[in-house]
Amino acid sequence: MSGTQPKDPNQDLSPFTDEPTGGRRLLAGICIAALALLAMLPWQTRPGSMGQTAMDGGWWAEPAVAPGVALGLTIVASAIAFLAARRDPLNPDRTFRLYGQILLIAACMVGAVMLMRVLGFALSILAFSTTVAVVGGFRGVKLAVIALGVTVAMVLMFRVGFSIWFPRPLLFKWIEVPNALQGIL
Amino acid sequence: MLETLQLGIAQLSQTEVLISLVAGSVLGIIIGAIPGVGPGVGIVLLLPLTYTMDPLAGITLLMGLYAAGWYGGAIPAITINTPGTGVNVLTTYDGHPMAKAGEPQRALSLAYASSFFGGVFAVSVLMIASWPLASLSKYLTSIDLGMAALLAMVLVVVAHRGSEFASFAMLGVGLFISTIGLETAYGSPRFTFGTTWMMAGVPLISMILGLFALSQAFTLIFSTRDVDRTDTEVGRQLLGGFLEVLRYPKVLVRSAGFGVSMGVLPGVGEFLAQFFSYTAARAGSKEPEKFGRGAPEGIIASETANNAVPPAALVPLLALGIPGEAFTAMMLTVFIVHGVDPGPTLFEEHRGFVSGLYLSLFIMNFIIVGILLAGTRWIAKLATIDDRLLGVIIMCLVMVGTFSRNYRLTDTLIAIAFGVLGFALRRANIPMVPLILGLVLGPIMESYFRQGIGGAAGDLTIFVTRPVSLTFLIIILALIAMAGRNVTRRMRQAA
Repeated sequence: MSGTQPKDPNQDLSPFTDEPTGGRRLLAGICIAALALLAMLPWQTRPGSMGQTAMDGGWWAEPAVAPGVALGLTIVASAIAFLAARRDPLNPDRTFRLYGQILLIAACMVGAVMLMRVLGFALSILAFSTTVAVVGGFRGVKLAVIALGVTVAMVLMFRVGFSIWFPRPLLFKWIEVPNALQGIL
Repeated sequence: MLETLQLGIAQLSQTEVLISLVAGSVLGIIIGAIPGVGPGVGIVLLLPLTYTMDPLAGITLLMGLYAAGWYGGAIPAITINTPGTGVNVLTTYDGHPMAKAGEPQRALSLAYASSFFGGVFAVSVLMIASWPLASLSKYLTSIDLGMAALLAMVLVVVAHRGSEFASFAMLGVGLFISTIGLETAYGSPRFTFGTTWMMAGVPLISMILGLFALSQAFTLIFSTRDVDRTDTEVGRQLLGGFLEVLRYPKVLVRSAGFGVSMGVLPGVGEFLAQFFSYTAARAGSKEPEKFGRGAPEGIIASETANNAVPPAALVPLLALGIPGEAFTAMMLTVFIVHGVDPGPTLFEEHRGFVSGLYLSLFIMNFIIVGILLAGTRWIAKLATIDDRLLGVIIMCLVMVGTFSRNYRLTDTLIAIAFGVLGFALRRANIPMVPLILGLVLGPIMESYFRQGIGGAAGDLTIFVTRPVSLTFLIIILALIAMAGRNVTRRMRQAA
């Protein structure tokens, strides 16, 4: 499929080139999020003397003080940093593709964690490492070697070496697997 | 004194501690020798494991990784002109030209010998300085200690020149996140949004794994770094540098001095230490024109200074309970998990632990050098590992590391959220270290300020009537004013 489409000149660029990278937008986002959280302060904290205890611990012990100060600092500092930062026109195609790939990896990680309860530790790691290696650009024999190698290393490290327990997968209810292997896979 | 030493030897002779000593050194060298990973990621990945270990074994493992990482980072800096860690950048200036000139053994040997001297010098300073500093800190009140924590954070923030206010914003984010969950005074929930799993706060391990390790893995998986496979062949003769460095005693001692003084100060660290050392070595050299072309003093200055920093960075942590940068902040969590309270009481209640830690840091330098002398030829090959493969490995480690803590999907989701945030911050060149410091120091500072202001019945003049607190306050205000002036100047220049 890639052979039929014109190649994006930015495709092979590292995400850490010298081009602007949206720091200004990120700071604006942090500032807006902090403002929203500050607005929620009365609902997300309770006055200390209400309901919990009859004693008044003083204004300094009020639960709202610390998050209020932290959010105030975030708002002021991110606003100043936003104003001081240079304007940086983004390459939207490249940014969307990059974060799209990251979200794909993130979704695979969530999927692999959920799969652990179904397929078990080793198969979930194998599925996840294969997907990530494909996103990373590995193909063919190299892909197989990397996925299997990483899986074996993880099994040896966590299941054999540190003997870390993981929930018994549903797969072992459906397929007969020797007990010794169940503890590893 | 002798009794304390015996206590330390007894602590050190535990099998778990000895294994940690060797394992930390080996892992640190390996991680340092692979460009793009760095001891920070290694520490984060090992952090969950150390919570189940004996505190001395856990701290020794992390310190081994931290210290050995800087040693190992010199190998690719010299052989393939790619620093293994950020702090080995200046080593490439003279190390690689020396290797290209046919003397890779000499360059590596000088780097190892300088690192060894810097490390041993700094451990000696740690032994001498932290006891009296801890004794003095007994006279500090809650307000003084709270202000010391605040000063440490402000120092870290203003050290990020060019992005001071972005750093302040990240500090605020870290401080805010640290307040989420049940607070201690009234036991009332803060920003839990009605959920029960957030009552215990946002899990620190998931956050740190996401911010440091997962964001780095995202970076590596999309890396387009060209690996130079024509690496320099390294021979076996690596002892010569240990005699050669003695020809430059001034450079050695001055660089170690820079490393220790910068290591003790929060937020300054390895970069400034080696920059000052390198500049001073060139200024004091009889042949300054050789710098950048394979000058031995250049390698000595860079490597001595950066290896003197890790032990020195422990001084404020052990004596005051206040970490000055991200790595020691992570180590503080190991102390907290085990109920070991760093600060003045540590030296009275856990003398054996402190003594054992000093001894392990001292012996660690010998072990690291031994491993390097025996295995450099093979370790040097690690620098050619594909970045994308490292990305795959780190992602799998993060996935297992977050899930195996509590077997909850939410822990993995938090790591992913912070991983994406960390990646965006890295791309935008916004520092993450203040965020970590805010996360770790936030609850400590809140507790100190609550106690201190409560003791003064809410009277805020307590901040200016205590001489120590007043001094810290003046320094903090001066630092903020300087940061404000720098930003204003940059905005004027941009306009």
